[in-house]
Amino acid sequence: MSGPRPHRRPPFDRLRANGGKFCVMDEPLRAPMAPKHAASEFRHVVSINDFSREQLVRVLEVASKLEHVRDDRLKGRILATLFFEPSTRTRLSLEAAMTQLGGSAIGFADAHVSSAKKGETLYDTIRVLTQYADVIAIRHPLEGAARVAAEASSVPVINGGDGSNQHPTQTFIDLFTMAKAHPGLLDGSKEFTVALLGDLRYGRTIHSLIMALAYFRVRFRLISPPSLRLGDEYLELLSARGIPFEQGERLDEAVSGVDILYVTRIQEERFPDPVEYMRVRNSYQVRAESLGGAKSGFIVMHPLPRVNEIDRSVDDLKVTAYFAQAGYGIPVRKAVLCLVLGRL
Amino acid sequence: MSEKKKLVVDSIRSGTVIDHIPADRTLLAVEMLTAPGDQYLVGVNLLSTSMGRKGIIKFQNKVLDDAHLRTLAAIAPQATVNIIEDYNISRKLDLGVPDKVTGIFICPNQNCITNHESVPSVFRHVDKGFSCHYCERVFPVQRMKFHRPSI
Repeated sequence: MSGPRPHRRPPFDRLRANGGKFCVMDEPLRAPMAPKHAASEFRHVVSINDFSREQLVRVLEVASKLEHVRDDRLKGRILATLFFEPSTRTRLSLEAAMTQLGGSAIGFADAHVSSAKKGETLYDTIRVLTQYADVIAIRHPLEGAARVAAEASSVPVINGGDGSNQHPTQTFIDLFTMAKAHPGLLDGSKEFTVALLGDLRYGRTIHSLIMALAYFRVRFRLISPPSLRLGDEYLELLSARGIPFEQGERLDEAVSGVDILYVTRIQEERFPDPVEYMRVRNSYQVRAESLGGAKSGFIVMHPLPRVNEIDRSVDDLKVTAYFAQAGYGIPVRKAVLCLVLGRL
Repeated sequence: MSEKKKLVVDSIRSGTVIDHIPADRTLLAVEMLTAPGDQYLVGVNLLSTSMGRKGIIKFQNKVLDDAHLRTLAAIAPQATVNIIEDYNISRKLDLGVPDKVTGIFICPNQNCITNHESVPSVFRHVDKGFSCHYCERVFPVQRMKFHRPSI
């Protein structure tokens, strides 16, 4: 056997230019598309993690201003709604918001009627749709789909829910509803106790809401069956931000001394184990009589749809905020559309 | 070299020595960096004054390229890479902590878009491991799967 193979010259020349450190910071292989329109305040709305406290407050301020506005500021602009998963409120309120401001909407609400059925990639779908629309709203069963869409798109992308990951516009709506009932939330003049009840483990609205509320003066009551407790990463986030929280399992702990009760559906579609779903599906039911002894100013919220976690006996109480919350989808999504399109 | 050290890991004439690999990631590094036919020596759980326990890999007649170094930096940024020529260290290299690791890991979340579309994975180093840029989940390094760098 001959001697050792001559080895290739190592690619270490860059070391000299980098103070002896090998630089391994490399960029994504696919650079984001250049924007099609002039600068807007927010390029995309993909994850609540991309928003600062100031930006969240800005969205709510704009939503407040646009609440009763119907005009033509988005005239000639087209919204494409790409809903690969079922939706009622998100898609229809986006289309209604666009229509109220003079724009129009195209799209589909079923993946089976799109070219995804033929195997088209999301990347290709978005590259094509950017030529048809000025803004894209997407709901997709896979986590990270909205981020991929945003990176493929030259027009703003609004995430209408990506798997169990994020649903940022729902979070804006939740904050808007809370701020309507408790204006002191945004200016930090008072601390509020927020109880989160139900599926704290899989619910994307819960995760986004916790990230957003962590910017404000709140304390949490986290009420769930043991198997649906909030994940450690979120508990650690709360601890790191110095936000007080208590965990519990009883419904009365979610009412007594609480300012805002946020109820969620236990989502069958997110459970890997159907047996576990059957075990916990009827863990809670909020009834009118459950709410005795609530504080003044107390409200009950729910992102909807509900199954049976809130009884109809609650629907017409003064504390009920969930139908108004769904209605706030329109001003909030008007604000989002205007902010990403730079048309205030 | 002292007799004691020589007994633990033999020296090589030319190639690459990767030292200061965290003990629990040594076999992962072996799996990620080696190719069929490679000649290499592995030391696991060796005593280290700075790390307590560490791992070491010595490649005979092989110099790691950019792809291998990126892979190694992703899982063991504190490792040192020594290029050996004629039994001496000709270059010594600290990897540094990469902010972003692109195209190396496979996201352990089966419902992440990167496992369904042709999208290069992007992970960021965080305290607890790696955070997927797309699905936003955080995974400890031990759970990471990876694309083997092309040989």
